[in-house]
Amino acid sequence: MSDLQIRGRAINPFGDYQAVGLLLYAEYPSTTLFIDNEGQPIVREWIDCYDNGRIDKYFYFKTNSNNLNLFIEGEINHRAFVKAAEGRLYYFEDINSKEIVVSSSIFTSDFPVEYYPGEVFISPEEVVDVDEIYSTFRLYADEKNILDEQVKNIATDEGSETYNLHIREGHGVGYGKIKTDLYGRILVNFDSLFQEAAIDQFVGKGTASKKERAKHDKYINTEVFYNIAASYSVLIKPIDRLSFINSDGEEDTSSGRIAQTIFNLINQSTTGKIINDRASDYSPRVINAYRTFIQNIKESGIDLDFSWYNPESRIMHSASLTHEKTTSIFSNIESLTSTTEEQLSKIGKFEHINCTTGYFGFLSGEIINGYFDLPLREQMRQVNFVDAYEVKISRLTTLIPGKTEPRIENTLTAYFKRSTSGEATQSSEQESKTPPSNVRRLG
Amino acid sequence: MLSADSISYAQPFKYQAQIDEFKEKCDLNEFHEYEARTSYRWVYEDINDERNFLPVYARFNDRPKSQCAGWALSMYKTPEQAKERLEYFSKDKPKAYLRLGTHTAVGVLERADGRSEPASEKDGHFNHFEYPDQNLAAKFEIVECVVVI
Repeated sequence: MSDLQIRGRAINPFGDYQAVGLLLYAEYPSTTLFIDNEGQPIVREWIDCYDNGRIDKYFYFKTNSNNLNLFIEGEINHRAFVKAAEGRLYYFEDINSKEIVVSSSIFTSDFPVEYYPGEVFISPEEVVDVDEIYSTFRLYADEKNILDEQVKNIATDEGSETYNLHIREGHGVGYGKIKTDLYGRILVNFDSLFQEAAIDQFVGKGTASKKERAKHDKYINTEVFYNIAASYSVLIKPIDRLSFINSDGEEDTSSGRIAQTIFNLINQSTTGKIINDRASDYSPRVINAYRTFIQNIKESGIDLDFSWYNPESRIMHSASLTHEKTTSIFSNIESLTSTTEEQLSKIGKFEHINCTTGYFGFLSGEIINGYFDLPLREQMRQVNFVDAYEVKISRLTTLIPGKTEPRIENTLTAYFKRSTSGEATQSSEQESKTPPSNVRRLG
Repeated sequence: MLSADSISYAQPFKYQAQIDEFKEKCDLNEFHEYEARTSYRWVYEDINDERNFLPVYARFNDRPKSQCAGWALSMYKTPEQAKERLEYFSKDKPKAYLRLGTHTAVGVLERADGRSEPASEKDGHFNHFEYPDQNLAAKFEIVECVVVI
């Protein structure tokens, strides 16, 4: 087993939490439960000890009562329980005689596989502090959250992954009633967030043309299919989804990945440093759609309980977006800067070129504007507006705090004239070998 | 229900003061003195290692203390059950033996040693509350080395 080297202290992303009891095992405290300020369960897993037993290594993650219940009841195994962590965010601690030595936040993509527990199923009889855990997290059948149970039943009947947007409190929200404009804005902003997260899955983090969006239409759109009076709850599902086996050999769905993206964002953005470190995981489109979604909740003064449930795996993800929390998240998003780079290859015709500045317009379905890279500025004068060209473009997309649209900078790094048969026949004599100048400018 | 309070009047346990903190949450009805009960436990190679007969609450201070059973000693009914459980814990945690023990040991628990509960049908585990001034290290002997360091 490798020893994950943790250097320096990290911010604990889970805030304050209190011990509830020992989940496993009677002989040794390997899985311990805590409760955070929002009443959510925080799990501490003992990995092993190191340095001749001097240091104990642990990781923490946030879960919810649904997934905790599934694990205790033997419906999902220990590894699946850990993998279903909210936001796939894990916090590591090395502890020496109760003193924290070093700590680190980490994400699923970086998680050392050997630290996952085995695929072991347990039963309630094995839970050490069973009474404390059941009563604290309302796991007894007659104490369970009625709305959550109702949503799970509806999702199961519908046979679809289901989002529940439960608008709990706020101006214009009553029992079974909600102001139309508020309702409309919440739905539109959620749908936009879903769409952009879906485009990241299907097309990538770059820009997506209308044609590309149309191609994946049924996988990137959602539909409302149920309303519950509670104060006001609306159930939404993806129109369709793709199923596949992921790199871990597990069954996965496109819509499950989209949900994971959305809940990762919510969990990571509650801490400014974490979302700043992880912003490049998302396209600027997703960040902007999320910003608008959060801004609307914040400015509407509503509290929104937000969950996703998969009736097949029975895994749930949930988050409580209170006014206080969305204010904090919005502030973190506003201070965010992120730049992503992508390499584009397009075929089309030049529309215009400014031989002094190197500014060009290139028509390839849509107009792409930008600058020739510096090494190509001399020979760009040979370009004509009749022939078709294949161009290589380096695109930097920068998220600008406070702006709804990202800044896009295109640098043309190579071009090839196309023959009528479609083959490249004449290339730019000096294809840019160095990073495009826009990359150098932004350092 | 026979509570920790009522037990303490008859014969106090080694950690009676700590057990008393749980009072009504500590159901000791199923704990009895046994004439001669052969029992197995994880230990370190040196049977006199001070960690061998400490209850988990005494050994692991950061464990949430929520029930009196944390002041009992874990025992198993058979050597196979003790070994299987130790191997189970050590499977994915190569250094776990540093916390759990490396060997299994056997001893015969008698009336004067304390009270223990019936063994779990699933894995043979049971808790044993010691009476004061008992020296289990003198009654137990090594059976097998389970984890080779």
